Amino acid sequence: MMRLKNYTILLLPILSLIGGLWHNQFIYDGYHWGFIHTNALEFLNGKTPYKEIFLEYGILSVLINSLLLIVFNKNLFSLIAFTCLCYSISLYLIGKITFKLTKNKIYSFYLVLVLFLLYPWPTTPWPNFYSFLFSCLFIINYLSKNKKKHILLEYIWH
Amino acid sequence: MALAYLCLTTIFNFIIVFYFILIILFLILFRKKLDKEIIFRLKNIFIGFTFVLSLYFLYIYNQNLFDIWFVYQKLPFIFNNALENYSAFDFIIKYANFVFLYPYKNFILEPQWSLYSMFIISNFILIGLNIKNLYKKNEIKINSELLFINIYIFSLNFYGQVLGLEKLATTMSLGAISLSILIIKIKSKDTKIIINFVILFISFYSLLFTFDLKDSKISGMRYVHLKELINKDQKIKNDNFKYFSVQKWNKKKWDLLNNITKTQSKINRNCNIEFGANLTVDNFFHSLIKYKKLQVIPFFFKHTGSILRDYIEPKLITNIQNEINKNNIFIITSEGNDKLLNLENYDHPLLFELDNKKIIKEYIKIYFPKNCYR
Repeated sequence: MMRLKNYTILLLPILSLIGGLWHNQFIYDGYHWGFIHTNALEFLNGKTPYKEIFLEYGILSVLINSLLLIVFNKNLFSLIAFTCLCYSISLYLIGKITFKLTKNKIYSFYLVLVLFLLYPWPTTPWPNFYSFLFSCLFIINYLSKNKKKHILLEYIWH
Repeated sequence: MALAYLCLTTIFNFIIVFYFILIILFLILFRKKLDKEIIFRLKNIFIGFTFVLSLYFLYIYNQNLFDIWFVYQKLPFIFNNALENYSAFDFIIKYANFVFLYPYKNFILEPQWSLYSMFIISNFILIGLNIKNLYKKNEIKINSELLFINIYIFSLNFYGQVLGLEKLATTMSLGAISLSILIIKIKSKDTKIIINFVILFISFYSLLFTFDLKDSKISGMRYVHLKELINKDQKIKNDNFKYFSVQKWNKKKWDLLNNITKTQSKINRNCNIEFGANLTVDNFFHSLIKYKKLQVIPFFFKHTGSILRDYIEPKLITNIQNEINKNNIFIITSEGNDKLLNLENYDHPLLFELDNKKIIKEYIKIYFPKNCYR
């Protein structure tokens, strides 16, 4: 039986991140990328969400993007780099979730490989990549057996 | 889950409502059979979600934004009424077609969809199996644990049905987890090998022969963004723009952005203009406008744009016209959007050729008051 080391599951997410960073430096997408960038810039300029900024999707993605622009000197690339990072973490988490449910390292690697081949990396800094990461985190947290995390809530309920 | 909701509120409104309705339904049906720990975890999910959402709505209420927030939540309906006018039944039929027919009919050119179809179907089958096992009281803890994950993935179909590669990759790809569980449950080793071979074959075939999805109507930005790699050696960096300093674009694109910036600098030397407007679909131009902006929607669609504007900023054109009359606005337009305005008292526009591969050349026009650009 083929054996996989623990770090093997990291290979494809890392490749996804590197590929995304490389590909996205060449993309000019004034509509999609510009929309996300300008929304975050307008938020930093003090405009009110919804009333003065067109938030077609959600407020949290604009908050995250604004924070990235503060840290990285308003650079557009920080948004797509972070999106690629979110997607690669999501791929890793899907591998982890599969391992938790199947206890099979080969299947968790195999699954990430299939998803990577279908969609290797994001090419738009779209909020669905953030929500995808949060969805994966939600599932992994739900599967978490660690009861200590829930002590406070347990206290409230009982 | 609450964070996912806040990132993509307009879509997750449907997902979350559907998810909680299904959870409540299953809790009522299987209350006595479900493990107490699972019920406890579901309560935690609900409390956590309600807590984060309460903070969000407190902000919305505090800023007096509820009315406009509500308009935004109607956007999916507004778009549907204006563009497709599908009923709920039409959506189900369209999605059923995508899951059961389209991927297999178009397998040669678009094999990717067949895998997404398998993910969706696997998730559905696993929900059925888990319910059946719960009825029979087999492996209750594992099944109920899985069931609520499968229901969440199932709820994501609300976003998946919009179709498009990016949407499927960030929703229905989670169905792959269900597929792997089903494969592992198969007892026959040969069947397992065959299924795994089929999946790998489709994956590699998609990668090697149809990766660009050139002729697909639901490939999202795949083909357009792959084309950006053509002539990548001719693309260059430009340190003059702090926003775009990492990007490598072709010279024509940089020249256009340079012209927009330089024009504004020149105008500022002669005139004191207060506002700027971007009447093109390129939002980078909006970012580069140094003046105050009247627009809420940073782009301007010629044909379908009025649908959005009517709800979000119905007085936009009137407001821009008022500022034109006061010689107080700088305007970037394309696609003949300037015809919506009376620009008689403005100077002749500057024309810059757009970098696209269309046979008929397209230009952006920059309008400004007379005697500002000398």
